[in-house]
Amino acid sequence: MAGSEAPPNLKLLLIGNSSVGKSSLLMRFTDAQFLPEDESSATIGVDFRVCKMEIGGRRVKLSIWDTAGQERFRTITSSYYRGAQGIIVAYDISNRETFDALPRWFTELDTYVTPSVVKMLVGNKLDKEFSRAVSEDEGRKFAQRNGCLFLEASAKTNVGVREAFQELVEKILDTPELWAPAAPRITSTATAKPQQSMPGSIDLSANAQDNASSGCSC
Amino acid sequence: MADSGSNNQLNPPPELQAQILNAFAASSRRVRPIGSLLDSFQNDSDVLDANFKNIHDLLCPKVGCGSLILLKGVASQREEATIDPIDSPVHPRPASLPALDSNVPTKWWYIQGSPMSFENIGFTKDVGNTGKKLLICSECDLGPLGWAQGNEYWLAVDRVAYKA
Repeated sequence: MAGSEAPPNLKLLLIGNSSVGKSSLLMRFTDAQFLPEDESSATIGVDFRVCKMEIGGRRVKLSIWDTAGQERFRTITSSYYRGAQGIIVAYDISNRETFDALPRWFTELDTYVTPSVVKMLVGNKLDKEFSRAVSEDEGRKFAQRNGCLFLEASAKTNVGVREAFQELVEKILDTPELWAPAAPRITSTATAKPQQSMPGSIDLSANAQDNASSGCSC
Repeated sequence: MADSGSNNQLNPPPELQAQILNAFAASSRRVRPIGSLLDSFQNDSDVLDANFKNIHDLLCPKVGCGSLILLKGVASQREEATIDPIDSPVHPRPASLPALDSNVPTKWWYIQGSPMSFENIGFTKDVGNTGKKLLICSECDLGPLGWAQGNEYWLAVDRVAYKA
């Protein structure tokens, strides 16, 4: 093993209207050099991914949640937002409706996350530049007004996607109150997991103590 | 960063364009680790230490992906019945993954703890009302590589690659 301390675990959420390409954004942020083949796509849907990343020589582990479809189940919304350090709000630059829906998403963010949570607005290009319905300038201005980072990215070719995630993570790492106090909040009692709030979910809140203590896994 | 979309008409077809972009970007990216499948070892026990822990890093078996799934020494091998939902209709087994014989116990890499015990992994939504999730590669979505329930995880020994 590298002999370094355990990397911090960060929770990122992807939100935005359906069909803006959230899932493909999520896939393309990794440095995979190919598109997934049909044979390997899960019809069941991906709940979340654990991804290790290196930012400026520093290792972090991300859990990235795609909230697709969850917006209909209002009762579990708050548990999705809980503990999130970074939020990516995505829209499709060729679909005006997805941009016009942004205020509603930001209202929800105001309700569920603290102001220090790092937000990034991503205009997803989906390689449809020719049918652009939202200008880059418009997107950037909306982001500025709402105090968040901004990037246009192509989820299909990877261009800008990794940079978007990196920028977000760097900002989180530069905001110690977001992640440094996370560990003490977590109690080590395995029985006190907030699982009933998210039926059938896997408990990510058990992370910190597991990872922090296990350089060796014996 | 150059904008690939601004002069579409002059560009090659999107597929080719993506390949070129990827090839270009690939030069600055990490080298993908190469793994061996379990078949390539003389004995199945060649991947174990005395405590049944994995002595290799476990990788996605897909050629060209090789995403690092788990570090060595994190999982221990167990034999258990093949669990029903792993190749269920909600996520049919792709041809590139070996079938699991439900009549004999299957060998699994067993991990207990946080999902963050993994280096890279994807979790599907729950399979029906089973409370179980399937494990897939977080980078290429290949799966099911195994399944998860609560804070326990099982990776099929035949569905991961072993880093040389």
